[in-house]
Amino acid sequence: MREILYLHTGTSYLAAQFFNTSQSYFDYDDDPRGKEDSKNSANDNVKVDHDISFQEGQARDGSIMYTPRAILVDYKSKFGSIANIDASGSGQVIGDEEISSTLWTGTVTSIRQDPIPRSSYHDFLDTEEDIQKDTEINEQPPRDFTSSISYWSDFSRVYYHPRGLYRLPDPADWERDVGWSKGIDKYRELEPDHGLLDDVFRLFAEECDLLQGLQLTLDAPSFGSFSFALLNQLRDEYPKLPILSFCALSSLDPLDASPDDVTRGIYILNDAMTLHGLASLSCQIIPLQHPSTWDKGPWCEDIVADFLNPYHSSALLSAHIESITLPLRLKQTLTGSSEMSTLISHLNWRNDTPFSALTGSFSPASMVSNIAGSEFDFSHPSSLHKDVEAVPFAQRSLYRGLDSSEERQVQEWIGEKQSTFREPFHSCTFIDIAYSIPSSYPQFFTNRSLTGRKILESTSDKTITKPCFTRVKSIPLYTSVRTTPRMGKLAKSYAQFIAGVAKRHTGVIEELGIERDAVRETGEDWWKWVGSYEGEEGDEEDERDIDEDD
Amino acid sequence: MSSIELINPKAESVRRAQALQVNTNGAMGLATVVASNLGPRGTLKMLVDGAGQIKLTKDGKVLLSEMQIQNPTASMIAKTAVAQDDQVGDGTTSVVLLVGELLKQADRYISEGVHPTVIATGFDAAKKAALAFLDSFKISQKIDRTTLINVAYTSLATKIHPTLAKKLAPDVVDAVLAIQPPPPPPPLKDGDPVQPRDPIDLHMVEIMKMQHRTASETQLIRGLVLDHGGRHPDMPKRVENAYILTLNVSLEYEKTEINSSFFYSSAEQREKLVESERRFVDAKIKKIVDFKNLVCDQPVGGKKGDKPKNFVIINQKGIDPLSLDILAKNGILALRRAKRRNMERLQLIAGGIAQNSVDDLTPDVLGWAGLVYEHTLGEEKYTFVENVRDPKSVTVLIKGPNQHTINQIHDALRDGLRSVKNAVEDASLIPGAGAFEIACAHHLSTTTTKSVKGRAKMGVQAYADALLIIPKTLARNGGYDVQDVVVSLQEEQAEGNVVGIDLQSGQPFDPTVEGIWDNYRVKRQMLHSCSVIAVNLLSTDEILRAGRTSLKADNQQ
Repeated sequence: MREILYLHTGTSYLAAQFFNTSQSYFDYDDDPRGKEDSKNSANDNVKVDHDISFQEGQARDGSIMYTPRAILVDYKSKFGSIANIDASGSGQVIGDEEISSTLWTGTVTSIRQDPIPRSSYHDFLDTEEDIQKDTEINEQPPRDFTSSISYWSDFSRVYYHPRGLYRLPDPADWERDVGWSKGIDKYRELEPDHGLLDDVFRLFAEECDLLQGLQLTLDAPSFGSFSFALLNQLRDEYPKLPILSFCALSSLDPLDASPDDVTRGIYILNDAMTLHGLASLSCQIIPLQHPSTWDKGPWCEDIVADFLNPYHSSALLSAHIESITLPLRLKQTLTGSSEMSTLISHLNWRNDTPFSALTGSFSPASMVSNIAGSEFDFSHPSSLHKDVEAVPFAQRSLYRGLDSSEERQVQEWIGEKQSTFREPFHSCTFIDIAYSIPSSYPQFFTNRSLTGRKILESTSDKTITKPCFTRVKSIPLYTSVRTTPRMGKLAKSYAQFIAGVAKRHTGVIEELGIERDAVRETGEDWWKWVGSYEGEEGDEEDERDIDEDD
Repeated sequence: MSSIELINPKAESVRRAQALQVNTNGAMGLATVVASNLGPRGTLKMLVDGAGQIKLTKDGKVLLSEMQIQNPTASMIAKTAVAQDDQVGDGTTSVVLLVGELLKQADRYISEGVHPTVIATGFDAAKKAALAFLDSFKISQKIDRTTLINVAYTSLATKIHPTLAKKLAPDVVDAVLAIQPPPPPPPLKDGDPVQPRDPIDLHMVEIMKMQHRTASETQLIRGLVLDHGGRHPDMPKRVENAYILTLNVSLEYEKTEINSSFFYSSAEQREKLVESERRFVDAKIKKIVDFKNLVCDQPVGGKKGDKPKNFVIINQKGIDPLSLDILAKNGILALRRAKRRNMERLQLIAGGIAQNSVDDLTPDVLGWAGLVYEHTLGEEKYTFVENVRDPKSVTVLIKGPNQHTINQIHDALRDGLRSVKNAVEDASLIPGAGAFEIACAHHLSTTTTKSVKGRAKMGVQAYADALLIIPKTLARNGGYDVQDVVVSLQEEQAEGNVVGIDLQSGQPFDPTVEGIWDNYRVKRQMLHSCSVIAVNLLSTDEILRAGRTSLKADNQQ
């Protein structure tokens, strides 16, 4: 067993999308939808080793139930209706009379907030099963639930272990969401009584026979320092545990930041501190730029997505995160040595490059014809996208759900590049499990993605009669993670920014509540990374000297 | 117009009297919310959030942290009050009430034209006098178990109903007494400083929760309950006369080097590496098994009827399935990923020394327990380590039919444990039921006002009046007429008696006779906290805000 634990801090939308998809590989014998899938893709399903991400437990009625090995930390108000996601079934509406506390003989006053209404997606899930029992083939047009989703729990198809849902008290609305020392204090306050590590993480780990690693997904502005403090403690207990971390950054680009702008500066400094903190705890980090900074392009040309809507942007991101980590969750025989530790040591074989970039394409139509131009870089700010990219130090590419002719085209294209970039630096995997699209996934695909290529597996001939809307069940996808010299530019912009704030007393450091010396040390490390990513060009040293002199 | 509004037109500012008004309203609003909690006749609050989660509480701290307080003044008070709880374990509600009342009393004088700083000076003087009075009021005596049970009961009865409180009070006291560190050795020669006794570490009372049956089955276990069990079907579920080996050693196949697996030249090479790593783990397991055989195969003391010796491993690190298998074959019960704190507790309970390596194991690092058994409840497993000699750490096992009941008992126990610890460490107690506040108010308004010069007298008087909010609120929550109660208490007090309010009858009584006790340090901290916040709020001259919501609109939380 090579279990993976998942820790999400402030990134519950991503978690919901991720586990909705992961769960769709399950074969439920009693689920009508599952049966239909198993006819088409029975082979696909058995390739995924469910025990890696899911643990067996008991449902309320005593039956066996699988819940993700996931800990979701977020503010209480972000969870929405718990009844949809809590495997223990708590959160059911209970009337006053049922509460008759046996522990108190005096008066009881009840203070109730308005209940959060059940989402229309969950209503749909209930009716959907009935309909499918009646009509064998799912012919009704797909429904788009975008407008009715206000919490991540509104579209979750998965029940989580109640222990894994970790609710933090909400901050007051006059408090700033970002703050370095505040997050660390928040963690320290919680740990003794509500042991996130001792009572939650430890019990998940106890379930595991042989932990493969921890996949951490965090939101840097709201949970950067909190996650750092948590991980710092965790490293004491698990010194060698491989940690792959996806770090969602703020929407601000360090390349056009001024150290004098306090309101924006604190976000950038917080991003830099978070990335640095994680790296200091030997995690491999994949930064994720904020969706509001994404550019539309060939990578999403068949998709009408609203990047500012977390339901949409999390769907796009999660598809790539799920895909690039898919080899870690396949049955051992299929993957050979594909483990998290191998992935990390591949990406960071030079040992001084803790940051890697996630790129990918969502557009199956253009993917094969224009591989190089169709990918989007999620990890670098868009101001760096136009630069010509040098040969990466290491890259893992993954193509999933391609048909044989497409696969051949891709192979040829890779063959052309072989001369400059090959194994073992570039490892390329083809997996015949297409990215599955459960009904909880936003239906933002346009007509073109349906007709442009065979996306529907069973009902492809029916697309002509229903040109606009038939439910997309799975799509092919290309995604890659690479350690590339481009990261040096991002590192340099952070290093320069930190040099700026460390030198001038602009209030950015004080506002975040960090020690000035700690910031300086962080700056030193960023310069070190500039060196390790950009190679021995030497000019950055000069630039830095000039910068320090003025 | 405030200068900030010139720079930032969106900014708001309120000044002087208006600023004070904002603070007073915030403080009083918060006090109103928590007032009904106070005392054994207070109201239990049931909080149901939008997601349907239930929280039943009477604890000021819990209520303050659960409520989403938006008013900045209220939030500041709440934070200090919660800090009070963190330090001494009780008194949150009292602090909030007192701050509200102090500002209310101050407001009366300020509206008559007295400057807030004059009142603040008076508050400071009153605080000093009150602390001095507290020291003379405390009753230092030898605190026996019976008194401690009364202390625990006083605390528990404000959170759970009397029957359960009565049942749990002795358990709470015994738990604290069990973990109390031994007294320091007497000084070697006269004149040496007497070493202070180590403080009681309440972490050595493990609180384990089990969602099962009824709350009345909550009990003290003289041993340890772990929240996990053996992970192998063939491991024994119940062992007697067990040696306990406490380990912090990874017994799982680990990559020796994080980078070792990158460039293999062949699959065979990889296999070889895996094999050698496996051998490394197996060697550790073998050492443990050999050691077990060594200690368990020794003749059993020679006497007839002695039970055979068994072996239990409790490991803080992981144990992988292959290792578990070998251990199970040798009849060893092994638990993996134990709590870090349980390593410490186990040494105190079963004896022995936790090991960071399996080299050089000797019999004297082993602990011993008469009985170790596993208890399964749904998907949860529990392991009980019991029948130990002289445990220095214990477990309180909370049972309850649902999560909110369990949490309610947990909150109550937490307070109970803290109050007993405080009493033991203070070696003194304060008569409860509002007795201190009545006596202190009398002392301040008669003695202290004479010694304070000038207008600050008014501040002292305001402070004295504010203290009465505690007995007043107790009376109100008990359903008695507030004025009647306070007057009769004051009359009785004037005759020089220690007097509190009997919530059964509404009449004055002597709390020391009934065994109603408060903690000295809680009262001391309470006087400190409430004075500091009140003085800070009084000294506020201007409130600025350049944020999202309006200052003037929301006075309530």
